[in-house]
Amino acid sequence: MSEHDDEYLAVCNVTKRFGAFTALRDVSFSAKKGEFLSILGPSGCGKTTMLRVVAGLERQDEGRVLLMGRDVSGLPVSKRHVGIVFQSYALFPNITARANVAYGLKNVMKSGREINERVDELLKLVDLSGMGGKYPGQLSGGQQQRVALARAMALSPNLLLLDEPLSALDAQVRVMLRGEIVALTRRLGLTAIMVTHDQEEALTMADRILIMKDGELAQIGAPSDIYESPASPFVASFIGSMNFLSGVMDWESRTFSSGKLAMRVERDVKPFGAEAVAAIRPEDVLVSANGETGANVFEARVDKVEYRGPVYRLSLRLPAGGGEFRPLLAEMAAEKARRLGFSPASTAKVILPPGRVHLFAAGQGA
Amino acid sequence: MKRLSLIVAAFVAALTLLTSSLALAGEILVYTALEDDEIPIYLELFKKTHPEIDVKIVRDSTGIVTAKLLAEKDNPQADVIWGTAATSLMLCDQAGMIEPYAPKYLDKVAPAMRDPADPPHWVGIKAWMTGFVTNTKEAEALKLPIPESYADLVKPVYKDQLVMPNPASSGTGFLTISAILQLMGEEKGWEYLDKLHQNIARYTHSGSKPAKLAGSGEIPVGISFAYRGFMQKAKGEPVVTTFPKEGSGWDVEANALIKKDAVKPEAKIFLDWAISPEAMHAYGKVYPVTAYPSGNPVPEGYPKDPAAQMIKNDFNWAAANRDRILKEWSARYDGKSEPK
Amino acid sequence: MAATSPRAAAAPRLAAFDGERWLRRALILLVSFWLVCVVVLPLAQLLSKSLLNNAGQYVGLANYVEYFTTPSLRNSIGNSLFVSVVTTLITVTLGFTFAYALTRTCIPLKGVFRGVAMMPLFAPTLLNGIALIYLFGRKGLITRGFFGAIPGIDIGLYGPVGIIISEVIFTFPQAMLILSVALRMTDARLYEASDSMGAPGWRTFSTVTIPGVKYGLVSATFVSFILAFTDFGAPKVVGGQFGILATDIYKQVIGQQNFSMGAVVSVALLAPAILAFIVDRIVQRKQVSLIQAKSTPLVPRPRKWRDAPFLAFCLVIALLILGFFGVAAYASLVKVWPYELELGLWHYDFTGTGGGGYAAFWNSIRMSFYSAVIGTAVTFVSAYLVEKTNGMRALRQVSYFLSIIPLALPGLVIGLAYIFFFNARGWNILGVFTPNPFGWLYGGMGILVLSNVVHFYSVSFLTGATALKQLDKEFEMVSESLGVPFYVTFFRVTVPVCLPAILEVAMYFFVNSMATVSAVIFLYSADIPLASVAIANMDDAGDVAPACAMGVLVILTNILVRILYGALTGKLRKKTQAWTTR
Repeated sequence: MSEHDDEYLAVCNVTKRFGAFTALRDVSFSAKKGEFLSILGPSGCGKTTMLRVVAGLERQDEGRVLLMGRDVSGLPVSKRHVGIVFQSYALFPNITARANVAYGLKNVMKSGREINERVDELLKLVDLSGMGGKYPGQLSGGQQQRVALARAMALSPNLLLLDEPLSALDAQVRVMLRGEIVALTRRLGLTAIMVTHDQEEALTMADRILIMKDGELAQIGAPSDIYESPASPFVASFIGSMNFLSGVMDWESRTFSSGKLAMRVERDVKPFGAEAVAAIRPEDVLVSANGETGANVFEARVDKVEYRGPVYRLSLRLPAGGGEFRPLLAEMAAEKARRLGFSPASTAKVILPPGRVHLFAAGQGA
Repeated sequence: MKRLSLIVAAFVAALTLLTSSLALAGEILVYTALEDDEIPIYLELFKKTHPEIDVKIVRDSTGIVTAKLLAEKDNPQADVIWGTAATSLMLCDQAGMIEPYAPKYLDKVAPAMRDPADPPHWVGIKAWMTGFVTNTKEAEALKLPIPESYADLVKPVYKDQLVMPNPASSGTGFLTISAILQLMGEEKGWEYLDKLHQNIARYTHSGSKPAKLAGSGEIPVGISFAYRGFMQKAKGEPVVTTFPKEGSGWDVEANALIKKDAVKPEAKIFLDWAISPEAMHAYGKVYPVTAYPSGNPVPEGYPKDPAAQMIKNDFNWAAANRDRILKEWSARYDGKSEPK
Repeated sequence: MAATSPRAAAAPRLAAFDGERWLRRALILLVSFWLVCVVVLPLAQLLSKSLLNNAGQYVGLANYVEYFTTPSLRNSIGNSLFVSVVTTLITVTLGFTFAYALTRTCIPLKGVFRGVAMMPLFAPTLLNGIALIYLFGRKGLITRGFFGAIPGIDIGLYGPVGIIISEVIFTFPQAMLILSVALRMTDARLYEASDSMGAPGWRTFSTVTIPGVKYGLVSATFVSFILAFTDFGAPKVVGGQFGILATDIYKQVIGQQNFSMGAVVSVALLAPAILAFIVDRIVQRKQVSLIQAKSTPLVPRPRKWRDAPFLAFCLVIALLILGFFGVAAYASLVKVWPYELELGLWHYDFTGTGGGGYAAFWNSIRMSFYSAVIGTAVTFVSAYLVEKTNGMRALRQVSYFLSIIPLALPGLVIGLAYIFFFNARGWNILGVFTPNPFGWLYGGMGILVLSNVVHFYSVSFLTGATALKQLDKEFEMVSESLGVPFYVTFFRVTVPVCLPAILEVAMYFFVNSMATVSAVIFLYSADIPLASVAIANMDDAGDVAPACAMGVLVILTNILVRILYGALTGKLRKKTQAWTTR
């Protein structure tokens, strides 16, 4: 193991402004060798700018980018040795797939035979052997993107950068290519960063996910960490869906109350003020017909029952005293929902398991 | 990078090639307003005696040659002006563009045909004069008499049947109205021009165009210069050239040397030749009045004594009052045909 | 693992020298610098001349005062506005109807109609005037009732009537092309919506058709106006005593050697053109945000009651244009119009007439060829640098702006400004005499080519930029990330893919350089005579038939080049189809 494998790529305190607009504000993160990182966020959050800074296509105003321990901040993309795949494929339309893949090789390889061998190898790698003679316009979208991938990997880059590589493709092709790209990077031990706005893509492909918001890093972690322990209401709502309840937290008794509605919370949270927001994912809400007792059991009214294929989603109302209600979404397996047979205007027992309730300081926004 | 620098080099080389039209030694650039059909005849003569000198000719009508010369005032291109209206050369002289030079054979030149200064700023080669060119076919059809005098031209029968050059742009136009003003006196002259204006269909930019328009029948009578009319008749056009009884306006076509940092000796050789007896003989074949007698008989069609046909022209008066006359002329006649 | 983590490494290294980025930066600076030299400085020189008297002394606004107090000069402003407004009204009406017929009806022979309608684009406007003389002059075909066969009519050609007819012919194809594009871009779904609501035809026309082509109409109006306002060729031939600004500049400069007044008239000519240009730009900018990506093209369905009148209209227009140039061609072959109607090539033998004859013709071809090659290279490379460079936004915007300014510059203004600028010996800059570094260009082929390149710069630049915009903006980044220098990708990918646009630009440069007279008439040196100038000079000297013959040669050359272009692009299309067919 080389000395830089843990911090193969390090982005340190990067800030990037476009005129008065700050696209990136003090962003730091690092990637291990062979790691697949995904940058996820709503449009305009700075994720593409982040990728371009790493690539060297944009120069940051502050901070540094280190690759294998070397400060590459001042280097242009041509000297960073990175492979880039764009959403649009960006294949040169007037030359064949082969020539596209060979495009960068001519600078580093002298003999035509050497280049030919390398191109064959790359085309085989992306499963396009025999298609090299075709022009990009004669290939399907998925095939084109694979050519682009082969081209990006031709020079054995230190880093593979993917800018929404699958967004332009049909749903089915997209799912298939997801697996192929990950398998390829694993096989070649490539460190990769992929920008996407598709949370499912990020969750299924990445080793770790960076969530960005308004030019800042909101959270970084493994997909399960992000999903299970969102650092903020924003992350919580951006990945999956989440119920929010604002209220007051009594840290002594670990009781959260919103109006007359009071519940126990079993979370190791850093104490903050009394004003707080409790949150629970719809699939963590347990619903039964009746008869349940114990902690955090409430009676709720069913407003709407929504069929979603494998699951049902219930829109519920929790009484909070004084004629007030709190809306709550719950999800359950279709089989269970059919068994319990809810209908609008019926009542249900709702359990909010104390271990599944998240707490955020008030005013963090969702 | 190598490829790029090659491209840049090729580009620069191409540009240099394109623009390398600079006059070389042994080569002179001559601006002239002589007629297109005369120049080759004269140049052939020059070639015979001076084969070593390459003459590049820039030929255009008087107004344009003058404009070009003045435009290039700060950075003159021409070496020599040949056969261009003396009044135009005076303008260039005022702009300080002319190098005084006394060519060989100067002593032969009649005093009226040269700048009185010594050495002279310009030296004439020949004179050209106003003539009326009438299309005989059209005149017959329209029952127009052939005009013989300025007085004829203002008769109502010629209404919209006359065309004359704009004096602001045409040397012929200017010498014509300058002659009228000198002959009749300014007050009477302007009164006459007011009446003439009623009969004019159009003022043209160049002095030869009225003759051509008459030749094509577009407008039956053109006030132009005599040479044109005779040439057109020779080509078979149904025209006759007449001269005003009162006398013709005229100007001298003259030569001058352009002031430059380095005046070429070839330029002086050319100027010497341009008033040589040999050249004069060639001019005299088509023009009746030359700088000194050419030894030719008066060309056919001209009055027996061409010098008598020419008014007593005061060039200094004409040059000094040119601006004023033109301004007055423009104010009176230029705004004629506004819309509605 | 080493003791120091990368994070703790010393301050960031100095930015490594990035040759390519610097080269690009230098090139784009060069583009801006070039535009400043060939557009801004000459114009500044022109403006400053208008404040000097002919002896070069500063006289403030005295020239302007003189201009506005001289009726014959002042009247020209009104005259120019009058003929251009009338021309614009007629052209836009005819152009719209013609374009509508080509895009929204099912008339046959659309290709032929379009081809014929484009013919005036290939002709020098001087020829328009000359053809009119043969039709409507005193000895004209129509005035004389076809040589006395039928009663003739005299329309009083010389003056506004002649100018307006010539300018309508000149501007018609331009307006028609702009409106065709606008009419084609309209969204069919709007018509379906209107139809489904049961709106009557006229209602659909006024609520859908007209608003849909609003911007096209505005553009066509301004383009027609500017072209008619600044054209010099036709008014020179048929303007008679009717003074307009364009001929005034010529008269002042060539006729009277009054350069200061020429500069003042140039400013008068420039001002409305610039104004129209600015309004047009603002409107264009608005339009961009209105185009929808997912418009459905409208496919017209045949309707007899509608198609028949449109077909008749197109036939009439096409026959008029063909007849117009046909008469010019015929007249150039007639021995002595109207006395001897024998046909032959007498007037195609230019010896003994002014202007330079075949030498001028070949010079024009040479000049147009150089202009096409250099102009295409310069505009395309500039468009590439402006469109495809990352960063340096300010500089790129300046370059872009400077690149479209020539659109508003009349050729005469360019010509006059170039005399002033390129023939100046030098300037006193802060008291130090600086010799003119561009003086060597003057008086040769160089200045002619340069004036053409600048005169036709904007349209070429915009054509190039549009083609480049359609290329994936990531090509440059891909090639950079692969370590391939941008200029290699430029030649290997960008140029081949944009070749159709590049050829179009080259043809545009060639055809216009052949036909133009306005800029070059001030700049040609008489040892390099030009065909278009020869037409003007021969017409000036009264040699109308040879002038007409030269005009016919120019138009034939241009049509030949157009056919060549068609053949080339056809071949190219076959090749590009290899990239795209499955």
